[in-house]
Amino acid sequence: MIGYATGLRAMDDKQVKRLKARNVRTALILLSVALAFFAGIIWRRWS
Amino acid sequence: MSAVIGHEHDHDHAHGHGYQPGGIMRWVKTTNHKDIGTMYLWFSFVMFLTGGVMAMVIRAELFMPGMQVVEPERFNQMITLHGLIMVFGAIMPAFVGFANWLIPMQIGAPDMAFPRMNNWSFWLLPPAAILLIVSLFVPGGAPGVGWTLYAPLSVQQGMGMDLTIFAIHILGMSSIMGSINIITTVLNLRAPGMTLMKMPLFVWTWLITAYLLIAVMPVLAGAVTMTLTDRHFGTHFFNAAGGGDPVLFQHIFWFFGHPEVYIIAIPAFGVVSQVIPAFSRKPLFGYTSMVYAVASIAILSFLVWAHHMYTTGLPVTGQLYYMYATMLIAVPTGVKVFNWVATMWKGSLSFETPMLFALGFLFLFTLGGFSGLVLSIVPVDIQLHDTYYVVAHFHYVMVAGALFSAFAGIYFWLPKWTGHMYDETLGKWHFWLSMIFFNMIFFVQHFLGLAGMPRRIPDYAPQFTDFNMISSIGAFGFGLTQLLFLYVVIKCIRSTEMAPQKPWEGADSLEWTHLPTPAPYHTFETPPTVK
Repeated sequence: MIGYATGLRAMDDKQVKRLKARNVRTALILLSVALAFFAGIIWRRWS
Repeated sequence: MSAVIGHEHDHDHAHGHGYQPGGIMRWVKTTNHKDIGTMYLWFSFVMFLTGGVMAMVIRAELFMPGMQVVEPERFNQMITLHGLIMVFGAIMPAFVGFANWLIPMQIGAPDMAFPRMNNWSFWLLPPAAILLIVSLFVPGGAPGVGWTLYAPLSVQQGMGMDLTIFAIHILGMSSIMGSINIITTVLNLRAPGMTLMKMPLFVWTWLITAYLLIAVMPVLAGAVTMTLTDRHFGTHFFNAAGGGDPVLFQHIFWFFGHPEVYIIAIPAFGVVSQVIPAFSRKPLFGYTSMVYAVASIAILSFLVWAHHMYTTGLPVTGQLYYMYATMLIAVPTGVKVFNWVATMWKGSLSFETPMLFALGFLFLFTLGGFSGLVLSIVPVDIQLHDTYYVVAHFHYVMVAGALFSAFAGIYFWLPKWTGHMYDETLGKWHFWLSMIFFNMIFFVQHFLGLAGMPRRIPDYAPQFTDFNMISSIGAFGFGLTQLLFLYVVIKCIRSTEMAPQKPWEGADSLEWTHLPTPAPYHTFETPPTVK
């Protein structure tokens, strides 16, 4: 991958892994908020 | 602003990082935030011209009373697509382009947190744009319902409406992925020492905008999904005959639609907050209050949606609440305007093109804010609802606000992006012609609205002719002026004269203080330390 992988050269493997896991956690939290809004608005009007 | 120590130019490597495809595949496969930012900016400009052509059709039709250019149905389709394309295709992607280019550089990160998702976010846009444009050519044409897609009319449209719904789903996915990327990048990839309250205001405005997007884009997706199921799967969300409620659509749409105004305006605030201090040669006045003002505006934007719906029969107590809540937004907005003025106060001002556009923004956006305050007053809005006064108001916010700010940002960062200086004389011509023609188009529309000319109608009573002619001539002039802008940008890209590393004396964020011009393909491979 251009950019990202090279950008993490200053880190060792463990640090990179930890950062990527943290990024994925943050993304999943945000995605679940978005999905909750989407499902919530339809469910509220469905029931 | 923060001082930076260490790592002087040790990041200047545009080579040696493995396979890099050339030609078109470079752009298809790229995960580099600068490439993706560039693609967003060009895409938004193409969409700006597309939506602009539709605006020309609208203004040609309205040049004089009677039917001139298109059938009424086609006119309504132009109105709808002009709105959708300008909001979702032009302005929003333009600021996402800025975000891609600038956020990693301004926080000292090597790239966005999810580069592959970043590529995917961009490449979802062209299919969505194609769907919108193709809808013009299917049986029944594009939806003629206005960008608000109000039910029950949207439920009764032809298959162009289905293409539009699908396009909105795709655009929504793109926006949500982009927002997740921006929030994750800002929260997790800041350089050591780059605390939240040291971030440039542009980054702050995008962090807050991204949260807004995550909250409201799914709501729009929900609204259009319900429209889709009403159309094809026998549900009655918005069908009164089946126990549904058409006004419900308006509530859901504007719960998205009002924050959407700020999704467009807040990054514009961020750009202006970078440009004005640079050309005042002073730090931004009241940085902390600016951050809190943006956050307040974002929170308040969720609480005022029904001010778009005063004529739907809201109870008086509801009208009063929405009126006062809407007026309340003027307070944090006023904080921002006064802070920009205070930044200029006793500054060593110079008036290069970015500053001119930032000042144009300041004057005209404030005017658009004032006409918004006028419209927040219930009895006034009931008179002016769906008139050209509203059209004038939101174009002062969207064009003079967001678009002028985008121009300010493009002229400001062009040297950093391209390595070349733009033609200052032509840039100033672009500003002054835009300023004059913009006001020709939209200032007179206030009077048309006050006199009762309704919006979204292809014909009008003869007494409105003079102001409509002025408005149309202004529109043609404004459209041509944007071709001058295209020429200035292309000339800048092709120029052989190199720009200095920091062409703007007062610019102080990391991309100016710590990176060469043009910015190398890879930046901050080793994070800088911010003091």
